[in-house]
Amino acid sequence: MSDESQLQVRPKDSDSSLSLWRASSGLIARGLRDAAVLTEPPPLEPADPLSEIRRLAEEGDADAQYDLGDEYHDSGDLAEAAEWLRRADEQGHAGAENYLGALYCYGEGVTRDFTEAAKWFRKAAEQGYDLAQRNLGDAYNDGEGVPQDYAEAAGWFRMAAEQGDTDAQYKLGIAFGIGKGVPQDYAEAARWFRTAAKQGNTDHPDAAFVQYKLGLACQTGRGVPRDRDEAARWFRKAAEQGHADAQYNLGDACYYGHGVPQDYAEAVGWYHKAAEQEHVRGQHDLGYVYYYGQGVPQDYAEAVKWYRKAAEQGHAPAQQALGNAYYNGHGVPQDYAGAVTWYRKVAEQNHADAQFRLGYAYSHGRGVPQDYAEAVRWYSKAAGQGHAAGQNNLGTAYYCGQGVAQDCAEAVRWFGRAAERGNADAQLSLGYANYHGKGVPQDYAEAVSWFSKCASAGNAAGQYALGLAHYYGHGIAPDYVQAHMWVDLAASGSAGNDQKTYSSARETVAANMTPEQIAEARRLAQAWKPEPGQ
Amino acid sequence: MSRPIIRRLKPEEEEVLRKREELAAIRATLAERELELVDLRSQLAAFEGRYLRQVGILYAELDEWKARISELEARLHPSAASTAQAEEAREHARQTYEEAHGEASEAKDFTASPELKRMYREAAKRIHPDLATDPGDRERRTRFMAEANRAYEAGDAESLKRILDEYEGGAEAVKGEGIGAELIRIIRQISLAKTRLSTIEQELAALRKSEIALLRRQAEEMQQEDRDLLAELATAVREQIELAKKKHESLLEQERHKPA
Repeated sequence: MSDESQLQVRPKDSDSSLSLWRASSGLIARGLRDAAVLTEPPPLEPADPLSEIRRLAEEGDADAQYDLGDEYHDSGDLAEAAEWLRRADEQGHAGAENYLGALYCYGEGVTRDFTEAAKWFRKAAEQGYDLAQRNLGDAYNDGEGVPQDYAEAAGWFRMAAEQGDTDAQYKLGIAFGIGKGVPQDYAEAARWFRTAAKQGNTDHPDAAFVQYKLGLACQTGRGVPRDRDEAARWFRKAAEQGHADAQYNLGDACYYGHGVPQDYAEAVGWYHKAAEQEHVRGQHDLGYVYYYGQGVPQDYAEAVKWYRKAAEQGHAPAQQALGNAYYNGHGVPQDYAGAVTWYRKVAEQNHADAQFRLGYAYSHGRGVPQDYAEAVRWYSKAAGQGHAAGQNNLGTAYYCGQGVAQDCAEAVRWFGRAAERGNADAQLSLGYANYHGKGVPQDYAEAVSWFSKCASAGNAAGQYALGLAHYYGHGIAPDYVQAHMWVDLAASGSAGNDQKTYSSARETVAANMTPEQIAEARRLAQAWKPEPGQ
Repeated sequence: MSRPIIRRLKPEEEEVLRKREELAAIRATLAERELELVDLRSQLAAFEGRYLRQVGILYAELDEWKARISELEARLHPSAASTAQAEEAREHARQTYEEAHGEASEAKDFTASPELKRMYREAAKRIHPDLATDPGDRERRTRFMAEANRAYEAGDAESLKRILDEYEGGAEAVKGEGIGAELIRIIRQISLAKTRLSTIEQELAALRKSEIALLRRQAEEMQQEDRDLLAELATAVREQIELAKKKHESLLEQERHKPA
């Protein structure tokens, strides 16, 4: 609507001989524009571009007959199109034969008839026409107009592929990828995909699945040389076409830097794409990166959102993680009952850690009424699967007779299993069982060896026990300096009542020592470091 | 019987005579061009007047409807954008109205009689301010030329004659002393006339390229085919007005049924 005020000339005041012109708001220009429409010459009849083709076609030129048929097809005159294509076919024009096949395939201008379509495709295909070879391959592949025959399909795809038809190259690659009509062969599949890509056709809607499988094959070295770079490339091709598994695997490759530069942010992007397609591990891993802030700002609420999606699909690690979130109040209000609900789901799928956590919840009455028998039931399941903390807690239940008849020998067996796995609590308990001769014959030396393992790992209770053994000379030569050192370490590594107990023990030990001995003990304590790997 | 004595002119006297003839010729041309200019202006103004009366007022009516439509739309779908658009349309309609009904629309068709043209040529030759030799003279000439233009465009031959007489009556018949001064004066006047001539040519060229001149030329071309540009334009705009009215009506209907 803005008739921009072009300067238009008209004397401002015809009394004046001076050249003053006024600007118009555009009424004249507007009239001029509308007048242009009125005076526009009528459009010329467009010259008929078909006249030359028609002349050639009528003279019997097969290519012109084909072109004319194509023109009629595009203009919607299908009967006339078929007529000209048939005339081209009479001269053996393969393109026209293939075209006729397509008309039968789609039922354009003729009754839809796959058998007839396949007949025309074959006529052109046998002349070596690549599009018809591919079309005939499709017909065999889908069993349309011919009996379904994957080997036959692959054979025609190969002929078209070898002539450079990239669609057929993909189809042949897919056939090799899944072993349909040809022996399964990832190397051959990869070769045909690469051939098509080199010709500029970089993707095919049906190829993503096989590209993903190729990625897996390269990852594991199955049927092709093991090559992480190559695996990541195939995953990326499939991922970019929206293949959820491939998106997840590419995300993993980025997360660990396998075949691509390590990049948490990119990993998160692919996890996200997979997760949005309901990919359950993608959802769990996306929850994980949000929980720990890898590649994204740490965000418990977002973590819980994705954990929950995977958990609701029955994914045990996500259910466990969601249980932990409820237990710790991360991203959701703290809720033991909620945590127990999720732990139970996982525990019932026979996951040891969840069984242990469920046992712990029963033992301490967290989110469920306290029930030692139920605790023992779940600890037993976890312990049976080699869960060290479960074994220790089961041992403790036997040792104290909580939820089960007291049986120190059984307790010692479970402590032993957990202690061998490096569980410090079990090592301490085993030490005391030996120290007091409960469930095993009394044996200070054996007790000290377990206290020592526990203490070296930095466990304050173990350090205290070892300190006292040194003080009393139980199972080991009496040594106040060593005693002071260990009790001192226990005191400085603890808090509350424990610390008070350990501190007063240290004073008791110190009362027997010279200042030089105390100084030496303190120096040793300061230099002490926990043993790694415990 | 006396015989005429033919005095032989001195060379500078001959030069003065030649220059006088040259000045007379150039002033005749100048007057002709001056007349052409005033005629073209008048004709264009008259055509513009006709255009505004026949078509312009219809554009104004169309823009009025468009403004109403925009305002209705702004009420139906209130937003900053629709309000701004309605205000813009309203302002545009106001401008179109002012232009279509303004002073320019009053210009009447104009045909000058040969006598009037003759007198105007005379006035242009004598009075034209661009021929002034000093500022006082120029100011006086400007005043008289303006009155002459008004009289010409009104077709008022009597007034034009009176103006010419008055000018002549007051004219200082300044004559130089001696033949040399006379020659210098004439040469200066020739130069002034030539400058004015080139100014007129520029003005004419600019006028002929103006939009109103283009529109008039189209009207003339269509007249060759027995078509009437202004009438056809008016019909086209009336059709647009009808469409706008229908749209306005349907929007009114929408507004009536709009849930409160």
